[in-house]
Amino acid sequence: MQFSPFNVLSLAILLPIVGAGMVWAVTDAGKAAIRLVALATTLATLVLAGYLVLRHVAAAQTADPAAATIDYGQGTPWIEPGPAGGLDVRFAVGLDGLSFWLFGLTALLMVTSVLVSWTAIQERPATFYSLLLLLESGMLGVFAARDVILFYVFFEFTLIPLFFLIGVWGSEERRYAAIKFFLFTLAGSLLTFLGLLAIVIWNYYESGSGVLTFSIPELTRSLAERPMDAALRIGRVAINGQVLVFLALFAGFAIKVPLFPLHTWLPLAHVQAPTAGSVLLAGVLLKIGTYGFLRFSLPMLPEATALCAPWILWLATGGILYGALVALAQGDMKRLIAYSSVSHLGYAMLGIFALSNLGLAGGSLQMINHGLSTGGLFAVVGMLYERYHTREIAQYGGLAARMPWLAFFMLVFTFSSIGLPGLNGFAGEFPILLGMFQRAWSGPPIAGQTQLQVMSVLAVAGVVLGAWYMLWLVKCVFFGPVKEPHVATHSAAHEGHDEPVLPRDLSWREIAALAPLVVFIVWIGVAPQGFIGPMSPALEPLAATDGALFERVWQLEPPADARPAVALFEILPATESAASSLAGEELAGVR
Amino acid sequence: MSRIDLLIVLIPALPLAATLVTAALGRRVLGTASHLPALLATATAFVLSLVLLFDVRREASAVPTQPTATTPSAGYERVVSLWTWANIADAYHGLDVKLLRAGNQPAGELIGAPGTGGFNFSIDVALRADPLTAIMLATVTLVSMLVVIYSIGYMHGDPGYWRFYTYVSLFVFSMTMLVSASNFLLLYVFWEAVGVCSYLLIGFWYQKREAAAAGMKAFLVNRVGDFGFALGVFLIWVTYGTLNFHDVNYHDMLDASDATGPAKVAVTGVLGTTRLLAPASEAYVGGAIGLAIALLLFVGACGKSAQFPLHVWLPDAMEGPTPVSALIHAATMVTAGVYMVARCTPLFLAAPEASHVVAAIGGFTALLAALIAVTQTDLKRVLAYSTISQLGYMFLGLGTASLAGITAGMFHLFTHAFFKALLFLGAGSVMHAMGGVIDMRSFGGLRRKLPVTHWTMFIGSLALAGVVPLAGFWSKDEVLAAVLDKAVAAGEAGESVASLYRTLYWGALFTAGLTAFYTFRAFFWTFYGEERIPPEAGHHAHESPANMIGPLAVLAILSAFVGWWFAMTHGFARLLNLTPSLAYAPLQPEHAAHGGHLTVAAVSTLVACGGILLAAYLYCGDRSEVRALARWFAPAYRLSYSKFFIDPIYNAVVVLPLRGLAAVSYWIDRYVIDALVNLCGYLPLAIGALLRPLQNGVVPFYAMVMVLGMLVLLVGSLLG
Repeated sequence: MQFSPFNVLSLAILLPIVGAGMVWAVTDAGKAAIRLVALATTLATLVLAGYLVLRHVAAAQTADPAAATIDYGQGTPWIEPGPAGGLDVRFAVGLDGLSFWLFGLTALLMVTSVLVSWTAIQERPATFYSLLLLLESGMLGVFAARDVILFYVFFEFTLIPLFFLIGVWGSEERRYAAIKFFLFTLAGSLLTFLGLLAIVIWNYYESGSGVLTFSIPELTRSLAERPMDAALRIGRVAINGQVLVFLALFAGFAIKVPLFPLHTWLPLAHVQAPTAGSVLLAGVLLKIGTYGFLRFSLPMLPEATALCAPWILWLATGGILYGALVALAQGDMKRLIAYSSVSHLGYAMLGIFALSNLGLAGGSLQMINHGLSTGGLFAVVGMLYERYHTREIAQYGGLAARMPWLAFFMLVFTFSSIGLPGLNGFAGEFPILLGMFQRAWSGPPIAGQTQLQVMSVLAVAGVVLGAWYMLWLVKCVFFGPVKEPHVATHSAAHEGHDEPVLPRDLSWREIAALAPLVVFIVWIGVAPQGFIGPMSPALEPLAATDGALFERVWQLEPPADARPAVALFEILPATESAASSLAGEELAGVR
Repeated sequence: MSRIDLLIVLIPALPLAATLVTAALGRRVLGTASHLPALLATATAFVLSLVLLFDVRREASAVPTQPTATTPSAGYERVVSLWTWANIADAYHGLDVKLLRAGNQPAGELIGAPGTGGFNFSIDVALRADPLTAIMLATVTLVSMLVVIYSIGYMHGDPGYWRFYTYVSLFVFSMTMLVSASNFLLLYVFWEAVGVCSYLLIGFWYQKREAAAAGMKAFLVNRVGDFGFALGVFLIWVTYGTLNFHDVNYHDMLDASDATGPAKVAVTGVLGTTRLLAPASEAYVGGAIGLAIALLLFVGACGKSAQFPLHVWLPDAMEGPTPVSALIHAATMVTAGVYMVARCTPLFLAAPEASHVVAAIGGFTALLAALIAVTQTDLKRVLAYSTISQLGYMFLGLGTASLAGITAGMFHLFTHAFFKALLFLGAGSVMHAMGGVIDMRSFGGLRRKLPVTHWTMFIGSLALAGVVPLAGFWSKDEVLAAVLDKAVAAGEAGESVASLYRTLYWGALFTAGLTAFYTFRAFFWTFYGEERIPPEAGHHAHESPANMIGPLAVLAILSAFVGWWFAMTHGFARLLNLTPSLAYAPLQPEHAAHGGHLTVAAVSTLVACGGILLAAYLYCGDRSEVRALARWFAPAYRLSYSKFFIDPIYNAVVVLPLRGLAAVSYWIDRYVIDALVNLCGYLPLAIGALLRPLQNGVVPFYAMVMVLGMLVLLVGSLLG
């Protein structure tokens, strides 16, 4: 096999599946062998992912534009079009500025996930680690897919292992949580699939090439040349077709993010999931939503993005404040951190839909940051839970004296999470808020500018609340007089298992699980340019196109040619509708 | 790389190295020698700061002192860029901002309009050397070094000895970076970083519930201030299109589309030479935006420098170890707000009303804190309120928006660092001897047990009270004089402004009397009267070891002479005024300073002596008059003793409502939003339940329905 980027990438995606098979194969050799195989697989995948990420970072530094993009080729055909045209579906994978950090983050967090499950998972370890590895394949695949069908397959594929991970290895209410998580996200993603199909079919009719292509780069290019300008007419009402497709995509992606108020599955799933599940859910799976917006909505549906941006910005701002407020009312550590995710992903969405270079750079960085800091927080809480078997904040106190290492990591992740300058959270939040300010207070006057200004200030206020609940958590659990929950003796809890007694403070294995995250947290905080720079070639076109459209469709008194064919929806004059109502529902190009 | 460049990098780098070494080796290797890295780093940093100070002075003296039309002066600065923090292309589109570019671009041309390619958001990790920075660096490293030495004795035997020195080194690093940062982003970074060090050090004895709570409170109140600061920084970006203080020469500041333009284009910094030398109306944005920027920055300063209404965290911060109170919560970190406002002087000059607010808040805080301090019984809290009050004086000076006032404010910062650190370290020495007890009701008459502490604190108290010729006298006197001058000068502008400053002057004078009173009240209560030693002290009630006494003595000498020396030689003012922000032309006095300050000096000295005599009369005897006074003025006494009930008010007005809102939000989350989701989930089930009876498996029923349906169709078609 040739050593091409495509092959390395495919290998990285498929390796965990092979690893899952190997885990099954060594089931009889005992728990130790299973864990080692799983760890070895994730490490090998991390090496491959690291190689790819480094290639991207190196490529971004070359001045030569030809060398700056890595060619992943066209992929392997699945369904090939005939000479007269037809379906064109491929196993096409590739990374670009939008995805390669997320790809690397996934590989990194998988190692953490395996390490935090080391002693926590006592029941059916083979199944557990196989599912975990299958999940890794799915997540890596989502970020690498260059084909709509392939993307959707991976997108849905991530649900199944996680469903079982939560449903089997979760806490008390695991079944309810697993089903709710599964149905909620599935319902949204079915709509997303419809939206994606609509894009593919629209492109088929418009391009006239006779090939029903599912290639994402092809679609992006094609839709940039021929923007989707259909309107759906129902009686006298005409609805902007791009907005409809956007809303369909939005259904799946916004639930995944989760954007307020579609977030209620998240706290439940987080609280019930095993530690590794929480780490991956927060660290990676939520990013699939924001990634979806960046990959599909922004480049393919720029006009709808511009039209819907103010509403999404409101939801993001609402989520920032609401998530922070609800987190303040929690007595359960995992639930508190879960609601903090709603708040933090609100920042990411705010940055993305500010539709400017600053906002997009910050939003994309915030996705990575949240993966590191919240992934780390869930891992730390999981380690506490493994020792004391309770997540209730009130049961704890003064643990810093008992577990200085754990307290140290908790403090670092907390500081990162509350956006302390010098750590990564700040490096993401600052450009986001600056981008939002730029959008709201500078630039040409637009309709609803006051709303944007209110949002920009409210979003900054979220920073104060964010510090409140996180520091409160740290104060209650780690400071004050020592208070340890009563723990049932290990022998009683796990009769017959050869569970090693955990040390009071962190073991080397646990430190190894958390330390890499801390390294990146500091690194991103001190020199974010090294992380933003390689992303920007992919983000700048989005900001340019969508940002300009935003200014155009929302300008005060737009000239006739600047107006979209149909705003969100329009009620047509009665005479015109009489003719079209005969046709009932029809898709018609208005321009 | 010139020597100044090297120094400006080395000074923060040394404490950073000490932090890393102590953190890595402290627990296992260094143990009780954990102070060595910090000691070495701060001592070297202090020496280097002195070298830097003299280098900057030499370089700055070369700049013409008096700006003329032909040779404009914007002071001296030198900037070192280490690495690029972030560089995001095409980030700024300004519309009505002038003077974005100098160089070959004509000033005033609109830059970055849509379609022309905007400015990059380009932020370097850039450090600067100028007189203001050099003075701050010297002050910070000197006090740090003394506190590090003092802590060897004070923290001796503490199980967290290495942790203490890690945090202190980290603080020194952050503070030195804060004062040498050359853009608003870096300033904000270290602004929060010193806040974290403060959080960690207040909560150093984290097993004490009050300590943990105080740390969190400090952080959160500061976050409220930082909220304003951040908004101010964002507005600066939106208004000026850069966050740099200094002018930047960048090849790559141009967008690719402009690549044919001039090779070197200067982007003028917010406080850069180009802007400072330009006509003020073109260089700075006034009006509502200018006012908003200045006031938001001041909100940040209020948080960090504990000004009303964000002063509530500082008294609680006394839960931390006393050397920390001396270093962070008296001498250095809390003055960051003063430093920042002084640094941003041109932004405040652009909106004159902002300066009135600064002066009013400063003056009010000075009075409020002094009123609280007169009844507190915790020695450290008296000093904490005194710090708040003195910081108020500094802001009062800055709020005059005159060169004399700002210089006086900064001079007061400088002298205050020494005598307040001295008083705190003295209080620490008392606390050390009293077995950790700091409530003045529990001890008294300690002057024989603690002779050196007594004498050094006497000097510190005199300096704080503002008695000739100690440090506090000179700087406080200059602040008062500047306020009076401003009142006179403002008389031409408008009667309301003049009366504001006149009120502030009398208020400040009254506060000076209060200051002398509460300072000597605490001093006499602690050291005079009948000798009482609390049982906690055991056999430890003796003078502190040499490593604690030494720093006290050094600070006492400094407190005694530093004000006199610099006030007489004008060395401080002459150097400070070469800072770019202060060499700004609109700030320069039109005529030489008035000579008539002798009256102010005489009046303030009289007031101070009055305060001291009153304290001596009330507190040197059996204090029966005090009890009588407290009874006669019971409501006023209670108001002062309970700190004007500000904490409970905040609790009722801010904390509880937010907690309530949080609870309501959580209720809504479960019973509205999630309930709606579940409702959607049950819809298919409900529809299924509706249709289920139809599938009852009874064949005759199916037949009947079929027949009925056909009948309906038949009838329909017949009728149609």
